[in-house]
This record gives sequence, C-alpha cells and structure tokens, in this order.
Amino acid sequence: MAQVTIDNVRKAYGDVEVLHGVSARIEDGEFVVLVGPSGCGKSTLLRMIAGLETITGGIVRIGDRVVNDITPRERNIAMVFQNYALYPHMTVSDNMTFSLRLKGTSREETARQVKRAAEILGLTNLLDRYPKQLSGGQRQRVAMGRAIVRDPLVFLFDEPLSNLDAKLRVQMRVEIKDLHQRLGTTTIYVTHDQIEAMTMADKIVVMRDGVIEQVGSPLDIYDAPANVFVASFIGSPSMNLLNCHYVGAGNARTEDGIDLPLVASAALQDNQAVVYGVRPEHLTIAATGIPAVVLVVEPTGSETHIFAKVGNQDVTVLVRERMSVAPGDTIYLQPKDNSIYLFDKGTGVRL
Amino acid sequence: MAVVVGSPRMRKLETALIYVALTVLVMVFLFPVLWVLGLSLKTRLQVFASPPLYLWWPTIENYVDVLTRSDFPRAFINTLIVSTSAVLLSLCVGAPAAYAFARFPFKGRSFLFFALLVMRMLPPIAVLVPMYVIFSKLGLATTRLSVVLAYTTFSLPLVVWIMRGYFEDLPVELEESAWIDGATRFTAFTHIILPMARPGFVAASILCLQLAWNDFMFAAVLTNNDTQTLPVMMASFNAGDSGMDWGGLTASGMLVTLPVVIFSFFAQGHLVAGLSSGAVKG
Repeated sequence: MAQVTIDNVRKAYGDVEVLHGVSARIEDGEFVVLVGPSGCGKSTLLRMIAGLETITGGIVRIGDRVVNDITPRERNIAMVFQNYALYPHMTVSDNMTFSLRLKGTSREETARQVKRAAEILGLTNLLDRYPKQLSGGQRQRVAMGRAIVRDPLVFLFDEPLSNLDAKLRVQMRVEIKDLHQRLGTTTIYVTHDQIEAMTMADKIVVMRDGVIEQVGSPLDIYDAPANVFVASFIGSPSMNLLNCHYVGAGNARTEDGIDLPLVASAALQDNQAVVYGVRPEHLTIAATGIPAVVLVVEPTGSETHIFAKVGNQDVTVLVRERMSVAPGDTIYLQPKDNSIYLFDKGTGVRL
Repeated sequence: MAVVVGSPRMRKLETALIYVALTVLVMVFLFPVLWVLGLSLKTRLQVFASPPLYLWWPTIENYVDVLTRSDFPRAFINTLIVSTSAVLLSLCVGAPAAYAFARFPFKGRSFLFFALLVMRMLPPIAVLVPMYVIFSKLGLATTRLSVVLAYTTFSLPLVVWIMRGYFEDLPVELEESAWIDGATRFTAFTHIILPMARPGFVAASILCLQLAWNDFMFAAVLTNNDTQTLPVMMASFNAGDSGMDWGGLTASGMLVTLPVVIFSFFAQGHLVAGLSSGAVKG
C-alpha cells in the first residue's frame, strides 16, 4: 500500500495538450474516484499512473518513488480494465496466477493466493472455466481477482462497471467498496458516472477538459460545489441553474422578469449577472413562490420528478409526497432555507 | 391451381435440386484429381486404351514402382525439409514483423507494408535468374538453403499481411494487462498474443506450405540431383527412353498431394474463429 502523488502532470499528443498541469494527492488506503465527462482526461491520467501512457510533464510518485520512467511491470500496481481484458486462452485460475507465475512465486504460495482471492470474490467453483464461459459479472470478478492476488501497492480501475447492466452495476459497486474496506489498498477509480463517484469514493476528483475542477469528499462536493460545472455534474437529478441578475433587496430576477428569492448579500452589486442554483430536492411546492409551468411528471415510486419551466428556463423538482400535478399546471416553488447557490455568470465560480 | 409455394413437396424438390447442383460442382472441381487418381491405378496398357477405360481392376504397381525408386524417398525428404524450413522461417520472421506493423506507428509504415507486396507482384521468373546469380556468388547454389530462402521471399509477405490483421484485431488491453501483470513486451507477445493469433498462424502456414511444397520452377533451377524436390523429380518421368511414364507421374502426383491434404485437413480444425471471444465485453 502506498500513497500516490500527482504533481503538475501534463499530457500532450503532438501539439494538443489534453492534461494541463494536474495535481492531486491520494492518501495511503484511500478510495479516490476520478470523475468527469468523456474526454476530460481522467482515463489518460489513470493510464499515466499505470505507466501505459508517457508523462509529458510533471511528476507521478507511487509511495516515495518517482515512477515517470518506470515500466508498468515494475510499478507494482494492478489494473482492472473496462472490458476486463481477461486472457481468453487461460482458465480463470491461470488468469489470476499469470502475474505470480511471471514473478516466479512458489506453487504453494500461488495456490494459497488464488484460494484466498477466489474465496473473497466467490469464484471458487469457476476456477477451471474459461472467460467465454462466464457471465459479465463473473468476468468482472475474475478481473478483480487478478488484481487481488498481486497484493499490489495500488489498485487502478478504469470504468470497470460500464459494460454491466444496471442491476449488476449496483451490486458490483457494493462488492468493490466492500473489497476496498476489507483489503484497505489504495484505489484509484475512473468513472463518468457521478453516482458511482458519490457512492464509492472517500475522495472525489472532478475533472473537466484536462483540469481538476474540485477535490473533496462526496458530501463536501455535493454541499459546496466550487463552480457551475461541479454543481451541475454532481447530483442526480442535476442542480437547477437559472440565469438571472441581482436586483438588490434580496432578490434576483430572470430575463422574463420572474423574481427568485435570495438572502441579501453584500458581495453582490445591483444588476450583476449571476447563475441561481438550487437542487431539485431543495424545492418545495407551496401556495406562493416562483411560478413554474409543469411539462412532464415522472413518478418513480419513492419520489416524483417534475420537469417544469420557469419563464423559458428548465427546472426540475423532486418531491417525495404523492401529489396530483398534471402537465400544463402552474405550480409555485419555494427553495428551502440556505439551499441556494449563486455562481458568477462569467467565470462560473461560486459566490 | 398452381402449387402453393413452400409446400412440403416443393421444399423437398428444392433440397434435391440444391444437392444435384452441389454434386455437379464438386464433380467439376474434383474431376482432374479423380482422373489423375484413375490413371495412377492403371497399367501402362490401360492408360493408353482408347476409348478410355471407365471400369477396370485397379493396380498398385505404379505406387510400388515409385516408392521403390531410389530418388523418390530422397526427394520427399528434401521437399519436407525445404518446405517446413521455409514455413518456419517465414513465421519466425514474419510474425514479429507483422506485430511491429500492427502496434508501432513508425514513419513510413504504410509504404513499407505495401513494398512487401512488390515481391509478390513480380513474375517469379523475373527474380529467378538474379537469385541464381546471387546464390552462386554466395556459394549457396544447389543447396537446400537456397531454395528455403527463395521460398521465404515469397511466403514472408504473405505471413506479414495475414498476421498483421490478426494482431490488429486483438485488443490492446490484453497486452497492457499483461504488462501490468509483470510481463515484458516480449513475454506478453509470446504468452498472450501468439496463442490468441493461432488461427492466423494456421492460415498463413497452410498457404506458405502450399507455395513451397508445390513449387517447381525455383527448385528446378536452384537444386541438383541430391537436393531436388518432389515436383522436380516428377518431371523426370517425362525423360525416360520410353516416353512419358503416365502411371509413375500420376502415382507420385497423388503421393505428393497426400501430405498437404492431410496437413490442411488437421490444421483447419485450428482455424476456428472466435477464439478470442470472451476476452473482452460480453
């Protein structure tokens, strides 16, 4: 086990720079999720930590060792790929012991490690099967088993659940988290799914366009997003963001002239353009408030999502109570106390 | 009323017609082989019978003659050595080359890849004479090695072209996974890539073997009596005092064909595609 330090790391393909100086510190035993939309550079960063991509600039350390010029095989890491990358001509057992055989581990030790990993992952009955005889979830487990037997310094996961169906994904999410709690190995996990990030991470690193937007614990990021991007990316359904300008006296007004309630802030100037953010679950339907016209009502059972328009801007409301709302109705929304986020319209930074 | 399309009788008729057509097709393709087989089982007199004999009591005297000739076993062994060497050499050199073409984006890659084919575009006779001169200067003329090298120039591009496709189709993640597991690029190549590319190797080696096994022209020029291969030896059936020895020629022809047929028959079992299925995704 080891901590991983990423210091001002850059990656360029020819003239195109895809990572613009990224720094982060992953503590020993921590479960860190790199999350962001596709093309944000999260997988590239992971592959640089693995040694599968060269590092254009900056320093990557695993433990105290600078690994910039060290080959993947010498980094003592294990990686689970999105498509599992199981060796098709080897049995489950051979897949898991490939690394040990290369290291020249003794037969007894190899058998012991395989037994342990197979027990942890429930693969004991499948050891003689070939990958093509396994289901998606089983393959995923074998890929993890291959990582476990190594007893590496760091586990790297590259979107490991993307190929599984929704139900299995939830189940594997729990298994991976449980595995981490049992083994305590430093883990770096890449996903584009913010729910995976929220549910699994000790620490989330939100990335966009080759830069880190915010680093923090899941709830910190949820409660205090640093900017519009993080606010909209983390949380499901995502935060409502309304363009408006400050009109003083604790109010903001949209272009359509609809007033949005605010706590008076000295930091704002009259007529300053801001983005008014409020999470769907922080809006309640009341007798008075922000008028909204209902477009679509989506009941999910435990909660209901109401998609509506405030003026010409979209709003989502999440309510837990059953209520009779129909498309075309006008409802009035009240944000809960202290649930409003204001962002600068130009920079997107939270005010 | 017309017969309803798809009635059981129609379908039976359809199946029958398909079988008739297939049988005719197979007869057309196999006719030369069957004719050679027929000739090889006839006595000298029967061969020249006019009109041709379609029914006769087969004889194996031609096979006995051929197999007891002093030069047949020697030529057979020569062919075996030369062909397998050419195939192995082509695979050993061609597979790593194909891997490089598939995985490393070096400068001039597409040009080089195309340039490999030029050798195959030239009529063989165009390279035969220069080759003979070169081998003579090197002191290799009339050795088996010269024939092996000549065949390799032809089969190597074939191997590279076939294997490149196979290597490109294998997911890079499998190799990356192996590197992370502690394998060097070479170990990953030998332990992961090569076993998975087996169908490609089989296809390539069948084609190379046939090229080498059946070649007459290169062997005729580059060998002598001691190193001559089967096709060259077979030509001598035409050189006797008594004219063309049809029985001997056809019998040895059948014997020459047999090993390739057997090899291809067993090898095709390994051609099964989809070996890599299950490696990635569902």
